[in-house]
Amino acid sequence: MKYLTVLFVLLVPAVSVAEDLSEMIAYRDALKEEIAAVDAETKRCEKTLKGWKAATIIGAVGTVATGATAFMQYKGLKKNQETLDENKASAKVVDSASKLNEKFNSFGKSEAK
Amino acid sequence: MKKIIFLSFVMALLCMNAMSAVKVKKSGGGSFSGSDNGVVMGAAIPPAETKSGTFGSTETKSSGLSAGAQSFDSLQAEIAELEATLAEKQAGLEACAQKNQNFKVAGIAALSLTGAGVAGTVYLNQKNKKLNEENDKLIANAEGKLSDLKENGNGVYAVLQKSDSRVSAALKDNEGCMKNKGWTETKYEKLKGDAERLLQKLSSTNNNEDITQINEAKRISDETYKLLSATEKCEKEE
Repeated sequence: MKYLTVLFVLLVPAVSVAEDLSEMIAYRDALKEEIAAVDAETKRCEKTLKGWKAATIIGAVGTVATGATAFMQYKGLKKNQETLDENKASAKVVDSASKLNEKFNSFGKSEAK
Repeated sequence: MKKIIFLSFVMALLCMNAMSAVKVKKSGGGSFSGSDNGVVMGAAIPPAETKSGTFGSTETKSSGLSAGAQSFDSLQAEIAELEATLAEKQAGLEACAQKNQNFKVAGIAALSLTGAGVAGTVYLNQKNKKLNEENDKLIANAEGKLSDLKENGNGVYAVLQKSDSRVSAALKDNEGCMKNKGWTETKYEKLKGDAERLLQKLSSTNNNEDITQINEAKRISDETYKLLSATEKCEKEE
């Protein structure tokens, strides 16, 4: 019984120290795992970032290209509108001249008679 | 014999305790602050999924007793290094997330603008197409009437030529009456000259001059009509 008590008294601190060590190792392992998780998350983030960067570049190029095209189209449209207005005015005059021509032809004929 | 074995075992235990006591004393002031941290950090980690991380995935977890052999100093240094690495990597991740957010906004805005640009271009293109069609119709119509214009010019000149003797006579015989109606020989000669010039222009028709020519034809036609009406009226009055 005496021996057992001595053994117990001597074993308690040893077990306590072992527990502390075990906790430290567990903490270290947890840190490693967390670092690995952060690494994985960073990898995912960088992949997404690459995608958004590409989208931004494509969007910027597209904006410039479509903007230039739209501007050219607008300029062409304005010119076409002007031509159309001129042609409309011209058509009105042609109509008027045609009517006059008819009138004059009949006038000329009656004069010739 | 039993006593000797027991005493040897006791001595061994005493030595182990003495050594461990020194190490535990040291660990009190280090970065490892006991089991609380371990529990908190451990709780945040999903189980068993990150074993293949950057740090020693092949390392086997030591049991509490066998770990006692590892040096406290090296373990503490490793933990401090790992904590610093984690903080650094977390900062990197945060920076990446922020960049991601910024590029996401920029990307969506740029792509939206591109979409709007495409829609605008398509709309303008359609409108241009319609205008071109309308223009083509008008031009075809005008071209069809170009021959009418030439005839109109010819018609006006022909009327002037045919009625030349009568107009000349009316201008001479009814000078007063014709003057009252705003007609003199000079004005008549000018009108004839205009009609001749118009005919010359029409013989070398250029589409760009169509409107000018049509307007000129219209003016000459109007004037000729007025002139002939004036001669008629003067003859009647006489």
